[in-house]
Amino acid sequence: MNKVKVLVTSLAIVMICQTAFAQRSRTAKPDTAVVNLQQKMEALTFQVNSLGQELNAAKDQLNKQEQTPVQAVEEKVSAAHDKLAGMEERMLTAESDIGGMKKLKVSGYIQTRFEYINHDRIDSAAGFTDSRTDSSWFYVRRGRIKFVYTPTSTSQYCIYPDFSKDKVTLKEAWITLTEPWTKMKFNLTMGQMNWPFGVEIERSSSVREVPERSIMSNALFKGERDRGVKLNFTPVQNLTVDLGVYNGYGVDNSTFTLTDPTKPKDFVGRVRYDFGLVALSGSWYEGREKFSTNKDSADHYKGRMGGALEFYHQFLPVGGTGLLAEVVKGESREKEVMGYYVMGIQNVGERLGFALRVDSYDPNISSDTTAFNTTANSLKYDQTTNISLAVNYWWDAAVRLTLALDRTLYHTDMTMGQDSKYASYQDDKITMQMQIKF
Amino acid sequence: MKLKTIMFWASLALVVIMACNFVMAGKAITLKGSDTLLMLGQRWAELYMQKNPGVVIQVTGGGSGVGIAALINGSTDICQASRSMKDSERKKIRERYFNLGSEIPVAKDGVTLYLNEKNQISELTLDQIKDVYTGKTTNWSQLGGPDAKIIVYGRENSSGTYAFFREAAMKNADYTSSMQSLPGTSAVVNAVAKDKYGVGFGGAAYAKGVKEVAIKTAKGSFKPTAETVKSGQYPLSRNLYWYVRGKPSGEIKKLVDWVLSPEGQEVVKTVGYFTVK
Repeated sequence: MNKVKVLVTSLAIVMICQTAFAQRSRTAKPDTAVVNLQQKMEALTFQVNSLGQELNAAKDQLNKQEQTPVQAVEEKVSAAHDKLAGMEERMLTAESDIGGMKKLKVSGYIQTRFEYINHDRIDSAAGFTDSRTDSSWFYVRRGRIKFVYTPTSTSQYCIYPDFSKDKVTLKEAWITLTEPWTKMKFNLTMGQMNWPFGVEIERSSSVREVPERSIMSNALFKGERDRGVKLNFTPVQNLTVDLGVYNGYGVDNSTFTLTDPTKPKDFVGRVRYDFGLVALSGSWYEGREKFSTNKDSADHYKGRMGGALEFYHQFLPVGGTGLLAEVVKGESREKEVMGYYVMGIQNVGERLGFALRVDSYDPNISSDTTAFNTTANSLKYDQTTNISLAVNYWWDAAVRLTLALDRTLYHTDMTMGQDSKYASYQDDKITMQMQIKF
Repeated sequence: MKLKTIMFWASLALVVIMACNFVMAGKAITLKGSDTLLMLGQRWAELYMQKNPGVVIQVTGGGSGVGIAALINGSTDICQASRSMKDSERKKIRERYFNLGSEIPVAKDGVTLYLNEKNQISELTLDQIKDVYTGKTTNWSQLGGPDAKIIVYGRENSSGTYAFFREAAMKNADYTSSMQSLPGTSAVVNAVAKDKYGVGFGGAAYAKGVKEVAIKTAKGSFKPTAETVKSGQYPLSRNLYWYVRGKPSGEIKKLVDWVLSPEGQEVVKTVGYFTVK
């Protein structure tokens, strides 16, 4: 065993010595052929590496050449996409803004007038000189802008100022709630608004064919508007019902401008059926009023009943024909009152229209109109009947020109007597009006 | 100054103004309103002007609501509308012109639901359509399609098609707030043609490059064709109208008569709608 160990150890020593010797010998004396070969190999390797580098450079160049148009297009597309996204965002913002603006409807109209009033009969027949000097004048009758905002299908708001004459006044301000559950379309409106009575009161002067409302409407519903609450609904198709509770004095009342001295409120109701070419309506009004600001003064009953007819048809090839008629009877200031008007309208073509109206109002139908110069009646005047003739011409879609003549056919004045053409500020008036409506 | 003198001069002034205005007034017949009818109106105008060299017809869109408003205020002679006039609009006509205007059906249409041509869905019920447009259904998978969000395209609220679709297909429910409102049927068709998951609606004549969806009813599944639209089997069938103030007269009457003649109705078919008779 020891012999084997010695033998192996010796062999290992010999092999190590041989290896060490061989290495020393190769380093010390290199073979020339091998060196040459190695140099050639190194040169070839260098050349291969150089070619590889050139090849890679060529490949890069080629890749660059191939990729440049694609990348450029991609970059352009990306830039365009970003721009488009930006524009889309701006458009959505603008759409949202416009959507909000669409909920607000702004409308209005301006009426400018020249009026000429004939005083001749006052001076001669009444035996005194009229103190007024403004027998003809220019003025701005209406300058109105109406803002109606409808944020949802269940509510609506309105504010309606008037900038005419010499001051700014509030004509309307109301809020309407609409129920979405039934087919009767109940609308509840509260604020300052038109009385829902008859036809003429709610018919704006921007569409009226003659310059002023009838004497009846001006006397019984002065200002046409009041503060209160109104319920409107459609029980069956084409039938509308309005029921309202109001202060009762109207917005133009000089004695009770903002207050209602009577505790009971006034009630208004109207039923209207619209057949299309014909519409019929019946109205009712009932309430109480004071004549003075004295808080102990008595309340007095007032009431009106009215009926109205509207008829529209194109009889003549030249244009449509309209007929509006309304009558009101009731009690006001402890007197029985009655008034009516009948108006016929004929269009000639689409721009020209003629209107003729006869209207009458008697503030005391029970009095004897032949008993003049009496103090029995506290009213200054009695029955008045007027005739109005108007020509309307639509200059364009927005502008209308009006030329009208108002004549008093019959008038009685308790203090001055009767004359078929007598003293009234509405006597023989010529109106020239320009109106723009938007 | 005497009353008679004032009246004389005022009347004279009005007559002079009227005469000047009459001289300045244009002689062209104007058609305005529905975008659905725009293409058809233009085609009618081209052919009519070729046949009647002295007549000038101007056609513009904007939507039925815009056209009706223009008819009321007098800025167009003829309103093209893809829906009936509302009561409130008739009252405005009546208030100004003392008649209810004339409603003339000039063509028939089937309001069509457009899908992208790659969309695998080919028929839907009215309830499904309503759910899509009210926002109740928001994913194509709910209708048997892929798991992808439905992109809803529609029209602006001045459009007659908007109003008709809301009434006939959606039973007057409100459109989903996510609907993208586009100006004109062409814009809707273009959007759906490019959007794999888009859906839109509009006149049958515009359905080019998109898929028409058949509407499934108890009686079968119907696409808008001459037969299904005229028989009323297609549930979204409707008339397309011309409205004029009063009774048509003069050049307008001649144009209306021609549009309703076999020659005028042939144009209806060429454009892609359906004749009234």
